[in-house]
Amino acid sequence: MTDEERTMSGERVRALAEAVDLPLRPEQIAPLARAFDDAMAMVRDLETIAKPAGVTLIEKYDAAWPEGGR
Amino acid sequence: MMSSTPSAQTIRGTLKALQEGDLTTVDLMTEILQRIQETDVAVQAWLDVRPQFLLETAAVMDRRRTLGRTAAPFAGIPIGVKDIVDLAGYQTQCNMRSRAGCEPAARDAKVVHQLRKAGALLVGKTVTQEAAAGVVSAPCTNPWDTTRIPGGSSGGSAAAVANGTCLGAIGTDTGGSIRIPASLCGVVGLKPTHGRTSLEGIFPLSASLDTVGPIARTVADSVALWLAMSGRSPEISATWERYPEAQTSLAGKRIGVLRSFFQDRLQPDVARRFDEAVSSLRGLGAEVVECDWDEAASARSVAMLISRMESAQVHRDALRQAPDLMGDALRSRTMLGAIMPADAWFRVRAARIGIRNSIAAVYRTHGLDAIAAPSVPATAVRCDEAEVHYADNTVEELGAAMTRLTQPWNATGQPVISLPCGFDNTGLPIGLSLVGRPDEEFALADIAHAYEQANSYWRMMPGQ
Repeated sequence: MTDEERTMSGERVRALAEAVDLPLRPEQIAPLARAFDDAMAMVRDLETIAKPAGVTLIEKYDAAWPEGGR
Repeated sequence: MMSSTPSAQTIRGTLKALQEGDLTTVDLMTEILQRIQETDVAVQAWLDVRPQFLLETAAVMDRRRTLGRTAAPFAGIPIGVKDIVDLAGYQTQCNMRSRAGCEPAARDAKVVHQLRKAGALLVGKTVTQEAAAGVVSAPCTNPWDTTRIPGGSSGGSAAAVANGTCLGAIGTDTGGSIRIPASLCGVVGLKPTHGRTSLEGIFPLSASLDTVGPIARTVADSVALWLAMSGRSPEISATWERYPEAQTSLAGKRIGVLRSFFQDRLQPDVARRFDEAVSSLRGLGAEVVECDWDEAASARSVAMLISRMESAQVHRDALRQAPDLMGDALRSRTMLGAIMPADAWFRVRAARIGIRNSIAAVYRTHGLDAIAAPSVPATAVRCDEAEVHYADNTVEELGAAMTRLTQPWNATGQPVISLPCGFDNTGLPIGLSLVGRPDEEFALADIAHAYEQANSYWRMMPGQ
């Protein structure tokens, strides 16, 4: 990550924290920005997970495990 | 008197001794309290134990038994309660500074209520990690080597069982918090299917993942304790019959071994003991099938992200009003969760459905009854270590290492039993995880019990 990207990442984290009324000390910004970037990369990677058509947020085992997955 | 023999350290053996008059509840409790007094200075598994109250309650139980009034299936069995679970009259401090002076719980958590109804003697509260978010459980130590961690976050519960200061304990598991300490302390931990055992009266970490379950010395004890916690005490007697103290066959069972992810980056002794466990399962008649689950790493990401975002909601006010009362680890994880965008939440929840479909497909494709995997990639580290070291000279942050193989099963919500499968070259316990289909705890325990009876690691106790 370049210095410019690091600065942008820090700014984004500062803005997100401000939006949810979360006070941040200056020394907390850089590690939080790193953790945030890692977490968002994970979220992007999850796009590759195949989801059934018409996916809903109703999480039922019955849907994933018809007849107990047998 | 209760003896220090392994069978005397089981719920099954102790119930038999109590019922047949070979042991009184007062004698049992006296010995438990003595053991706590002698050993807990070093192990520090217990937070709040009230000897006089316990002995008085034990005496009442003995009187009821003498009068023939004891029908309760768990009468007199000493059980520990993790300190995020409400026990009436005791504080629920969750190892959080902000709760140090909190009022005692007014009523029992649902699982505690059910245990009390079943006759259990609730010994006291066991040490946990701050807010149940972590794998160290300081100041508790590992009874096998008190310079090492017990694992967490149900570290006090697992250490207390391993140390013989109770016969079973309540644990909770959001990312591995039953299975990690069970593995590191050489006892059995059962994470039941998510959502099936009441969380009422339990301090939350992440509602979509939180699961309460038992820690005990044997598979049969764990199932019996889980039934008692779930208000299913009438089924306990059938448990002892289903899981006899005898070798059973695994003929007709198909057990999957995942080639990648769960075999990556293990300490050599962990890999060796896991291979031996797989051979043992095969020797008992099971058909062992090698298979792949390409989404395992994503499953772990899903569990980790959900946990961060949901725990931020739990600690929302503390994070803003009293962040200095939070430890660094808890504050960092909740700050991250607090700033994650809503869009991420929906994407992660949708991915979880895909994850569940993918593991169900693995079971269906290969006709599996269970999957076997190492519980954790390493044995207990020293209390002052923050990393796990591997043979190839690489290191991994402690929390990441300990949860690497457990978290995927929190995303899927399946039941998992971690049971002892041997020791490393320094004598520290190693755990084997068996992962079942949702709601098939009994069938999963059939496999775990067969392995346990054939290998008898449960008979090994610290200090022998």
